[in-house]
Amino acid sequence: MRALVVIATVLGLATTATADPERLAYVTHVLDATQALGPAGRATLERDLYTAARTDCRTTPPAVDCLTGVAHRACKNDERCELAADVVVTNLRAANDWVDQGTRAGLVRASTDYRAALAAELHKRFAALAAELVVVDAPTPAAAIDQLCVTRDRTVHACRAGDPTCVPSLPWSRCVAALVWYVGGAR
Amino acid sequence: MIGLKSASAIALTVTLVAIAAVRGALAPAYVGSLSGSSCFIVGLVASLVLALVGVGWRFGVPSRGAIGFVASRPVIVDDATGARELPGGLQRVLVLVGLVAIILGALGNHAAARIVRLPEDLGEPSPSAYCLPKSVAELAAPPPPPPPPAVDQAGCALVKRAYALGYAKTLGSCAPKTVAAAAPVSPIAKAPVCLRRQLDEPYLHYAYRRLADTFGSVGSPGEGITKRIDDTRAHLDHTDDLLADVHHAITGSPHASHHLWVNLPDPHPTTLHDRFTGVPRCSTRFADLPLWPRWQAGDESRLVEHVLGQLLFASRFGTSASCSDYTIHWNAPADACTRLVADPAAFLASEGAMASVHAVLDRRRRQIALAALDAKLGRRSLPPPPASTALVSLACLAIDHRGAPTGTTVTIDGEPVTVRDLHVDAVRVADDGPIDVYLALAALLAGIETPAVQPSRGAIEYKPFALVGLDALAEANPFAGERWPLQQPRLVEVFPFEHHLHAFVDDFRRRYLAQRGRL
Repeated sequence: MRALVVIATVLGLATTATADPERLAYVTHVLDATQALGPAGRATLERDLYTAARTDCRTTPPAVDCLTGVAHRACKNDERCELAADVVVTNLRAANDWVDQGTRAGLVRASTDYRAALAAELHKRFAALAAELVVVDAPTPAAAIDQLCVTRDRTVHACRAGDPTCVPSLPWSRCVAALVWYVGGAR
Repeated sequence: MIGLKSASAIALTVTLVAIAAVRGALAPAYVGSLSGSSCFIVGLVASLVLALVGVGWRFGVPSRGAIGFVASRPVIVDDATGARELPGGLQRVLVLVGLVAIILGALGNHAAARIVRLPEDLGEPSPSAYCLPKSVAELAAPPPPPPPPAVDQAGCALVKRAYALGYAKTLGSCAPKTVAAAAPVSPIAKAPVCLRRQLDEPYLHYAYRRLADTFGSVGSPGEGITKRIDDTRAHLDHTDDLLADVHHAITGSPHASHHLWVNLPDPHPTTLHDRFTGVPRCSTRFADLPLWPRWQAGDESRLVEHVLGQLLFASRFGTSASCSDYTIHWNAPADACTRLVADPAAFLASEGAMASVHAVLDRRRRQIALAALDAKLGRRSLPPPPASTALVSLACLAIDHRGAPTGTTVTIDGEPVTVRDLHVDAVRVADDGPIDVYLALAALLAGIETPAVQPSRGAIEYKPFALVGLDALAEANPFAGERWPLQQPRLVEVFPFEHHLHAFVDDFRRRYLAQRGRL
């Protein structure tokens, strides 16, 4: 009986060992903000930040300080906009890691609007990552995103170069930004 | 009842005719196209086969058995008397018809022509036996090659467009490139020397030439025999090396031997269960190491083993070392390397490491000797084995006081072997402690310098632009001194360990594995 109590306690602790509440709250906020923008608002914000980053931030990847400055100016102290902009600029910094150079060169050749083509390509990659959410058991979409991104790197993700269906190892921030943008844009 | 021979003749004929009909051998167009010689050969072959079959068939003798019908079911009756039998001549004709039908399909005009030409072909010299003159067509000059296609270069579309519109003066690196066409080769210049028999060469001359070729540059057969004796003598001189090489291959002696002494307790002490079932293979133990586990006090040995496994054996980081070449000696004295340098043979023997070290050095020495034998015999030898310092290494990690890594060389079995020693003050399992272990082992094994610790950049809060702020952690490399994120438990959960650890292990292996080798 005593052993059963110990096992139950350990299992209980293991399952109730939740994520950092502040971190989870932040993921919830950025997801809500992204959804609240609506399709037109998301497209406008993404286009504006992309254009401004290309004009003002010339390093590759764009510097964090420069991107946050660009986002501040674009959002004009609107906190909800800044939360969504955080997702956009994080994805902007990660774009070259998501889409390999060969694919990007193909996009340059094959499309008249590189930004739109890149966004479409990123959407495909984000969808492949979002498919992994299916196996996550969490009470809310934000919790599922956070849980997946915290634990995802513990396993090996060996991808062949140029394989769009394989998502490589990702830092938590990039994983969350990609999933928030995909899940937030799907609702 | 009907005699078995009659039944067989009918069945055989029907079967053969059916096969020939299915294959189209009885089609009027095909039969009509057969030449006279074909028809003659078909008839000849069919007659010969019929004669052979007739010897065993004995067409004139009635069957001893017969097929009867009992209740509408066929049964075979032995010693049947009164069975109906086709006349022998008719049986012969039936079999002949079947044979002709099947041979018609096998021997057409082409085959008949080949058979007719056979005597002439046998009289012609074979290209595999004689040097035949080249035909006029072979000697003719080859047609000129087509112009090489232009190479489509990735990422040049915009440059080409700018050039076409006049915005750029040159195409630069996007200038049209073509694949260099191979220069046409004259068949006469390329033709190898034919060593087969010439058409007008007497057989005795050809035989002498082959004998001379067999003895090669030796010249006379007498010199050839002398050379063979020398070769045998060289093999006898290297008998020990040859046998030892075979012994190493059969017994599977180690290909390299690296030893690490650590003055920490064994994290996997051999249990009674292990004594019966055997300890798990090292490849199993290191197959699936967690990326950045949490450690508790008392896990110091496991941490050291984990870090060594990540640095050398984890397959997630690419090319790895072979864990069977490595031995960790736990519970070692803190002054292990001092004792080792003082008396290498005695220390290695007392630690049970001498056998593997001796085997590797012996295996290497035998390979060098066999390479010398190959050179003596004029054979192409294998690349020389790696240096003894690449095959055998001895290292000590002592947790007693802080010190810089030191290195020296000892002589074992007449070969130089490197000994490296590192003293650290403690193994910390919390916060950025594992980084210290990674850096210590990297310094000990590969001589990688330990960077200075950078000051903290402050805590990261979950407020607007936290994501992009955390994204910058990908540039905060703890192995390069940016340890501050690991001192914040909230950041440890989201820290991009894979990114940094992968880069560090990759760099370590590039340096370390370049210093190591296997036999």
